[in-house]
Amino acid sequence: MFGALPMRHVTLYLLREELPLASVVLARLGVIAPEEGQMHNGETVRPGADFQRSHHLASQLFRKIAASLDYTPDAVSQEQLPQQADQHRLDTILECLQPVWHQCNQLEEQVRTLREEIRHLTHQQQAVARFFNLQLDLEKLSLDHGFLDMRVGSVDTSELQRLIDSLALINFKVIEFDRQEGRAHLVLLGLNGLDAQLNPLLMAAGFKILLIPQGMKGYPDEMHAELEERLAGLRHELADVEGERAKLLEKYRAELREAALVLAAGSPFAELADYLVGHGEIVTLQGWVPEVELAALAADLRKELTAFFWEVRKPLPEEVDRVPSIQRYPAFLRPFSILVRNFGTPRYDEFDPTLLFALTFILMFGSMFGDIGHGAVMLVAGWLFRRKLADFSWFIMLAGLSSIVFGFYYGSIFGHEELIEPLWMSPMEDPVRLLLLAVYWGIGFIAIANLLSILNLWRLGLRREAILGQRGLAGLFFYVGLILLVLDLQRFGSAGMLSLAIVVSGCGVLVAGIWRETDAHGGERLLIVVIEIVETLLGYLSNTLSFLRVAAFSLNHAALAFAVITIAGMMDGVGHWLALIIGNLVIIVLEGGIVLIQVLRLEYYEGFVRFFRGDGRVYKPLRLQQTGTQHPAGQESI
Amino acid sequence: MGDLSRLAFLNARVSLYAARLQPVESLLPYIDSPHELPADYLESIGLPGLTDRQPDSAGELEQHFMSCLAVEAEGVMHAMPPETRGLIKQWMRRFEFMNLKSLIRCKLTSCDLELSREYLLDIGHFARLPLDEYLHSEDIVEFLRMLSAQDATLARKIRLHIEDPEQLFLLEAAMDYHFYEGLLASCEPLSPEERDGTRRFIGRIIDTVNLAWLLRYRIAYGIHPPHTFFMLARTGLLLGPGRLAQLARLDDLDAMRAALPAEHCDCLEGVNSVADAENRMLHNNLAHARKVLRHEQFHLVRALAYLYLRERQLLDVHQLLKGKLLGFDPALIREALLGVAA
Repeated sequence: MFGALPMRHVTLYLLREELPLASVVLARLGVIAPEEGQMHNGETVRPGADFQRSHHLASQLFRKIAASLDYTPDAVSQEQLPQQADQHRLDTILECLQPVWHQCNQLEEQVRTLREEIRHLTHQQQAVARFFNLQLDLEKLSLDHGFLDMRVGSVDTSELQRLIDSLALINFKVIEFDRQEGRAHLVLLGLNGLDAQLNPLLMAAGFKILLIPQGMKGYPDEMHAELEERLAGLRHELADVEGERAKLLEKYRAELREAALVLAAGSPFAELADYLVGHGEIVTLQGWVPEVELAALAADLRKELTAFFWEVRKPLPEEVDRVPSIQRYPAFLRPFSILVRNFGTPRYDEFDPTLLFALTFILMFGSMFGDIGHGAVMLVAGWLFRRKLADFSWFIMLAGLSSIVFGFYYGSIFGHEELIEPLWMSPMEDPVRLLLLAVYWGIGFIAIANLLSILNLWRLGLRREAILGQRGLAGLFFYVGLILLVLDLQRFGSAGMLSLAIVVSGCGVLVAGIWRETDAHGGERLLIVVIEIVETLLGYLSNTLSFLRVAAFSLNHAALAFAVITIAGMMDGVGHWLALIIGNLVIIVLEGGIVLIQVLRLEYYEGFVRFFRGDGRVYKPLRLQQTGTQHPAGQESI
Repeated sequence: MGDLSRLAFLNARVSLYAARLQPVESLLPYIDSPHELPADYLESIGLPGLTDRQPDSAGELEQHFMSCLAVEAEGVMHAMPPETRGLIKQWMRRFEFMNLKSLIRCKLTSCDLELSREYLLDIGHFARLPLDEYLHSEDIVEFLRMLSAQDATLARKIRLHIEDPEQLFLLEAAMDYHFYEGLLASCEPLSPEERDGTRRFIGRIIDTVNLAWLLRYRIAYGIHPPHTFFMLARTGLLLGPGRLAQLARLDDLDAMRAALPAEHCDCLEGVNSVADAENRMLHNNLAHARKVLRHEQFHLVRALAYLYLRERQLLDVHQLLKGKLLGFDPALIREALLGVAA
């Protein structure tokens, strides 16, 4: 509960010819998190590199074909997957997929061209409807004008001004008569005989000529119909191409299914290729396996492979950084573990703060948001929306439960404090007492965080820092001494010998530690030490006072509820109930949200930063995927 | 005072980086030397990575410089206020456009996958387009369909120009124009003062590009005036649309020079080829960038000036090393280096 599952470093010696099979076996069990290995002589021959390249190519082709033909591979169980996918099978798949994609590519391009043409003609059709804005007889556009060159067409609006400016160089006039979906419809007028200059320019500008049908005599409806006919033809063509695609899918469905299976079976080997080393017949694979899974791994390998050899050992002290960290939690702790991972993944040898986080979170939330009614609403909402919220329904329900418990202590139901007798007192009754309690809570919280920091530093081998550091024993001594000193001053008006002795000794050790660590000379070194000590002092002071917010929010909660009741009390009938309902909803949603953020802030910035490094390696075991379209993405087991 | 505090980090970082900039003349003593560049020189110009191991191939060398520039551009970008970082991202997009041009060439000539991959530069975090996916496209039409998903306008422009293989230079010009349009658009979120200075700096570069294309179109390729004018960017500093239209009508180098604004006219005095003119313009721009770097304190344009100069410096070092790697004649290497600085 407070640490990671014990892991073992495994070095597997496998036969090269059995690599595809071994990969599938390993992925099926899904327990080994591979890590990059090196051969004894420092060489890095990667026996799976060719397979990986082919697999990558084949997967890409498959994805493109599947997207083009709208093909979704059927879900298959592990048992349906082929036993293995070797280079030969992969090459066969690649050879089979290449011509399929070639056909798909052609169809895709046909579809694109047809769609573009349809879009273009649709624009033209819409433009024709406004054509007579020009007050021109259409017949004149299709006639040979002798000295006059007149062209009708459209250009992308982003090119319009450049085209107008460029045409001005050969004295062509441009009349824009319509604009639709980023295209400007134009009439170009200029002197005849400038084709050599005009045509390359129009081509560069992407000018599309509007074709005026032969014999058109100023009847836009006929032209509209003509365009409609052409559009219908294009749409028909498009439907034919879509039909071709459907036929293609039917023709190659069996091959695609086969490809999906082979790619799925081959993906573990492709993924492992980055980690396999060795030349000759023996290939090694290194990785991390939870100790509890070793027996199952050995049994599976023995059952499936002709031969293999392995070396298993505990993690060495120098490789602790690389050991993946895997924790298992009961369901109610999972949402809290997600929030912890939001900050960082616990290292393999690090204290896992999830349980402590959950307990302190629940306590602080309840104390800041204590109300039987509001807590009950959260509890019920968490239960009702448990499917949508998944693991987080536990989070809401536990927060609600904590609110209910504290609600009994505060004697508050939806802000009404006259309905039941508080087990302790209403927050508004004695705010100073509440503020003091919050500070004591903060002191305890920071002290525990410091203790955990000492533990983690010690485990990391940073023993000097664990003793002399600001987050080590010296820092804790200094903090405890300061607290005792303040208590002495508060109670007796003067500093006690014990508290003074603790502060001075803690401070002395801290000074010695900082002095030793500082890479400076003389006055500069002294200045750094003084600044660091002042910073430590101020840091502890501000961190402790930060916990005042726990009391402040419980007071705020009571005051807000009181305000809602007062406003509702000023109304009658429906208004009264509406004010009560809306007011309480605002309290639950808005204030609840703010309290949640504040508690998280306290946990992260007053707690975690003191002791939790969170730079652990996530456990991502090799897993089998269901279809052959993606590389398997391992997941951390929680 | 606002800019002082807002740009203090950027200013300091650019000043630190700028200490690496050395004139091209500092490379000359090493042209004839049989040895590689000495470690202390490489360190002084911020290329310590080359002291450990010299790249084995020209491609590896090029990638090394690209990575170096990308890392520095990232360093500069992170020192900039967040709302202005788009400028550097767009500035570095030029290398992505270079990759796209290589990819188009490969697709048009049906290069195999591995060879195509060799032509591409890894531009690190500045990459926006999934080039690896494009690499695996079957042909140019599939590649353009894929590109449409990210940049439909660019894909459309490319489609217009790939139909005529003899005029692929027009495609390159269209892509350049598209890039500079994007660069100017990325100045929009800047404050008026920053925008003005930055646009002037970019406008000067656009002038150079425009003039180079103009000379090529009219003198080398004999393209007609309207088409030439259409292919030019309209957002230059001294060469506005009116001036470009006037220049596009001319087809003689001397006449064009006479029609240029005074600064460009002086700069091109005595040139007799398009290549000479391009070199002079580039040299002029480098001098201007040095001036900006020296005098424009606490201004975003310093960042661009630094990257512009740094890129040139890396290109010079690259030319020298590549020349040596490929066993070129020292005279040829010298010509390549001083061709720009002359």
